Amino acid sequence: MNPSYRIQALRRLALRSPRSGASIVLALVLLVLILWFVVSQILLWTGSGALVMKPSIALENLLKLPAVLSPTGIVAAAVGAGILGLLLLWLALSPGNGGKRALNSERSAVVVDDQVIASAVARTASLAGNLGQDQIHTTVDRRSARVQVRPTSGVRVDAGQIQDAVSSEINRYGLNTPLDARVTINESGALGQ
Amino acid sequence: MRTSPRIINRMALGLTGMVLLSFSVVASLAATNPDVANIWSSTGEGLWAQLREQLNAAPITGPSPSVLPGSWWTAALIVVALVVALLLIRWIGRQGSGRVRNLGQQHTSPKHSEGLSGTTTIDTSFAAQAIKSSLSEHPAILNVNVSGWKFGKGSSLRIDVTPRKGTSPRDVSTAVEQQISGLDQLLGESFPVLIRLRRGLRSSVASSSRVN
Repeated sequence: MNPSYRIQALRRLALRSPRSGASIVLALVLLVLILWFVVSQILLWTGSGALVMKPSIALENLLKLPAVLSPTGIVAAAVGAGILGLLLLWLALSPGNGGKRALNSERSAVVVDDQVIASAVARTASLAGNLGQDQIHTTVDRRSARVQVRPTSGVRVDAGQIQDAVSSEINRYGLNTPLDARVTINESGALGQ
Repeated sequence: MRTSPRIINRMALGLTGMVLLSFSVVASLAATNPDVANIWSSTGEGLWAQLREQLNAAPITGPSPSVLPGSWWTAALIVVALVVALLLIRWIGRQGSGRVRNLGQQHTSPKHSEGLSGTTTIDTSFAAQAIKSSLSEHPAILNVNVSGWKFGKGSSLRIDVTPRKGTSPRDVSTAVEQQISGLDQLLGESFPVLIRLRRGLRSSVASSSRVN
């Protein structure tokens, strides 16, 4: 049976950043601009000078920018705006789940940090290969779990056995995105393990 | 889950990004091509002249015009700007809210329950205690945190679990779900649950080796 619609919705929400932080920063920047405009206009009406520059002059300069700014200045503005624009578009479109994935489950939405998976995989590998924890280094990225094994000097390590154990452990999770196990055995061994 | 205005957030970020990107494209064209720069300047000049005309067409004539050298258009723009500012503040205020103290309420009328009427409230802390106390004895679990959040029309439970380093997440999720099914029976209602298995500071520092 598949999880209910509510659970699926909950899982989708948990795997997608709400982008609150970026939105708050954007809102604050816009607020500063608006406050500058309002305060400057009111100050101008009461006879004192505007803050930084008159809003009307700012608008005039923007409308005639190539006449006001040197070509290098325009290039700099274009590059700055371009980088910021791409960053904002990336924030808007990317999921931003921060290294998490979902385990399949009926009753609840289960979301796991990649580091939790990495340490579980490392432990599985160490049990399967009869190795110490510090002989195994595991990293989990988007598509694969890389298990690096540093064998004990003079003792053969069965890579296939470790590979099978790690794969079957990952299969138990029923992850929402495929995760390949890649076991590599280092050339150099560890002494006295 | 937090009820941040997710769609509005992403739309606002994307829209601002597109505005900045299109400015960037036009500006780099203007920097490399003098024709584009000229078109920009002359169009801007024309627009600015029109704007000035419009502004001057509606002057604010107070008791002494020299003191109020403004236009009604500017005044209107200030009002609009203030409304937008209020909307922005509201937007900020809606981020990250949605925590609830009560998971649910049920009203009972005399007809259904032997002449007694009243309201039953399920406190979030009650569910939290039930789950926490049973899971805190689990050897593979270092820390449990339970909170209630608005979700759709009802509410949901969020269970944050820090497993001991090296524990299979499947084992932990099974253990937590056992407690959830116990809670379901206790409450007679099953709330949607989000379980987050998180890497805790303690579990990433500590060694996984221990005596069973």
